[in-house]
Amino acid sequence: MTRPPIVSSEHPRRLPRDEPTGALGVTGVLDTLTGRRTRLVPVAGRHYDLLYDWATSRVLPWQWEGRPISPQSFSDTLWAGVLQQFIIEELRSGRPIGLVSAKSANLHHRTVSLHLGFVPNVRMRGWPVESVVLMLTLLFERYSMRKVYAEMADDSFAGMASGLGNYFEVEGCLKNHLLIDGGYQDVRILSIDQRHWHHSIRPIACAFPSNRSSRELIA
Amino acid sequence: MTSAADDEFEAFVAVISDSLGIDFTGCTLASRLVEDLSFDSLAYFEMLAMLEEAANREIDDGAIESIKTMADLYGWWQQFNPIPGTGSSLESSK
Repeated sequence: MTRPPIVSSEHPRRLPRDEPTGALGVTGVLDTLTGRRTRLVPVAGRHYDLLYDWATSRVLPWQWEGRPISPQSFSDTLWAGVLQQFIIEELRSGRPIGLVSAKSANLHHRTVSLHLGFVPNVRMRGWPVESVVLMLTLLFERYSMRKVYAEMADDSFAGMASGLGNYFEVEGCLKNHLLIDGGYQDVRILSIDQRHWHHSIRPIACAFPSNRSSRELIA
Repeated sequence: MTSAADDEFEAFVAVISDSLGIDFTGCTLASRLVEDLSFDSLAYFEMLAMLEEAANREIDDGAIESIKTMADLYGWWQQFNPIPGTGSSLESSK
């Protein structure tokens, strides 16, 4: 079966040798994934200043596991265990609004962990969720993942709770695990499996303009 | 509200309950999406997709953010799904 063109090729680029790639050695052409309101742009050297700023100003506080970050060690931290990661941009303005990463992939068991962070002024709004659908499209369609895991603190989970059952399951909970804004929050371990993908998420991805021409292939 | 209008609203509620996977039992036009019906980011995202599918066009973000109550949402839906009789357009758009 022909693999559907799940990504837009409007901005294809090949990472230069001196730019980091995923720890699993995934190389080659990395495409920009485009939806209706967001696009995922492969992280490259030109993004490091922005990401370092986000990391040190705690815009994305949980990406860095609480370790002190120096400019020298930043790129190693940024790419530790990464399969693929993207800057999330608002399509209309080109404004960067977050970072989404796939880490700790196991290509034998076909599992991977999804890490996601948005800048504060787009949290709890609907449209940025599209970027997660784009990333899941990559993970389930291109990498043939079986299960995608994500850890979510209480305040983030509150923005996604309606998806329980349809879009994900909760497989576990770490009580009082993360120190956020002076208080400890639980962290839920979520999983998105092939059932969620095929029944609930893939139909959304099929409606993106970049996938419409291949709808019959994906359906 | 007339009986026919009640039926139309109930049909609309049934459609969006099914689409969004949210239990809207007991909701009224005055119900607030976030405060009363527990809308979250995912529900807003689904609502956006649902409305754009119905409208067959992209909807301005600012307009979406103005949808705060069931009356707002129902008003938008009616723009894209004019219902001459009870429920028919709603059912065909499922």
